[in-house]
Amino acid sequence: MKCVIFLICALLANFVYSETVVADELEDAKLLIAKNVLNNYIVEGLNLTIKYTIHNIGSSPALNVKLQDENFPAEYFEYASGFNVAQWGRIPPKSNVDHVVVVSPKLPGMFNLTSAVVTYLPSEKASKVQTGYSTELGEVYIQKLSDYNRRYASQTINWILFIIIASPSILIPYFLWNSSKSKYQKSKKLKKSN
Amino acid sequence: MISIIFGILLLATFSLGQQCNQAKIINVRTWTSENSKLNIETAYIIQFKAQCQNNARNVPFYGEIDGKFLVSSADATGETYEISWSEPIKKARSGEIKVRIFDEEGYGAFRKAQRSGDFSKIKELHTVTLYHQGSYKGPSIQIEFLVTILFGVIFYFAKSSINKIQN
Repeated sequence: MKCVIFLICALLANFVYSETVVADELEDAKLLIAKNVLNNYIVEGLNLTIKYTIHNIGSSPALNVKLQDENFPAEYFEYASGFNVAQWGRIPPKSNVDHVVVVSPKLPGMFNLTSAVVTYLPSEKASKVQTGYSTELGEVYIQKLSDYNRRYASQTINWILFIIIASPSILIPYFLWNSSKSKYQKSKKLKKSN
Repeated sequence: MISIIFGILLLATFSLGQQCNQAKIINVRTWTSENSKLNIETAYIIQFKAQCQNNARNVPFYGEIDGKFLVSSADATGETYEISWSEPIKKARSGEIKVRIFDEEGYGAFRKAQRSGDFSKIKELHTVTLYHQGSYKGPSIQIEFLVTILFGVIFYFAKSSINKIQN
């Protein structure tokens, strides 16, 4: 019996403690970071749009927020727009900010999209820098541009070429038939006039 | 005494660092995504440089679109800023999109004006006009369809000529 009472007391104490911890934690800023790809397909040489959304779910503003994504090295990607290091002086509580970057993959193949790192001060009193990681997307396949074009690009030029190639087989018999027809009609007219 | 003076100086530096005096916005670049086959959402990016008289860096600027505000992010140097957002392709704005850029002071004044309804004194730092022609969804008539129609007409002509001769 004593053991059961002790266990219940311990559980209650633990519950109260964890509630206090959660309340304390949320008094400071707490950032949740989502990294999303805004593409249906990732293709070599075409734009890959990445969107970072940072939510501050805490009750204090996050200060000196720095987002850094080293996932797109210069030998594999080219930055078309946006920057790989983004900073905000302050992100107010219960608010979110967006940051969009556009990169262009230089090579086809499998590529691991890892998480971005965010560092911030959780409150004005805080001296220790907090580090957070964004969601990661894992391995993605970067298609070859020629494969993508074969499947999805407009085939207008190919069809025009097809018409040019197919036209002799239609036009040559037509002109032969047309010339013999006109000759036949001429001889028919001559016969009638005689 | 020295520590108090030092503290006041520190505070002044901190507060000065947060404000950009007489901001001048230059080198504005805009970008939008236009391929609807490739993208899930349309992304809009505005990049600009801000020159402050007090050389302040990494200060917040706010972009206003239809009464909604977006906070800018700064690059590693703290001199180049970006205001970016995305919208689902079906709901994405197209044509000329005007984004008014405000500094902290202007943003505060705009929020006050939203409550009072008096926008007469509101002045933005700069207005960026973004042009998005709408996402390209491919040609309205597929080339395959045109080619089929063309060869259908040829076949019809040939067939009707054969029938004429045989009759």
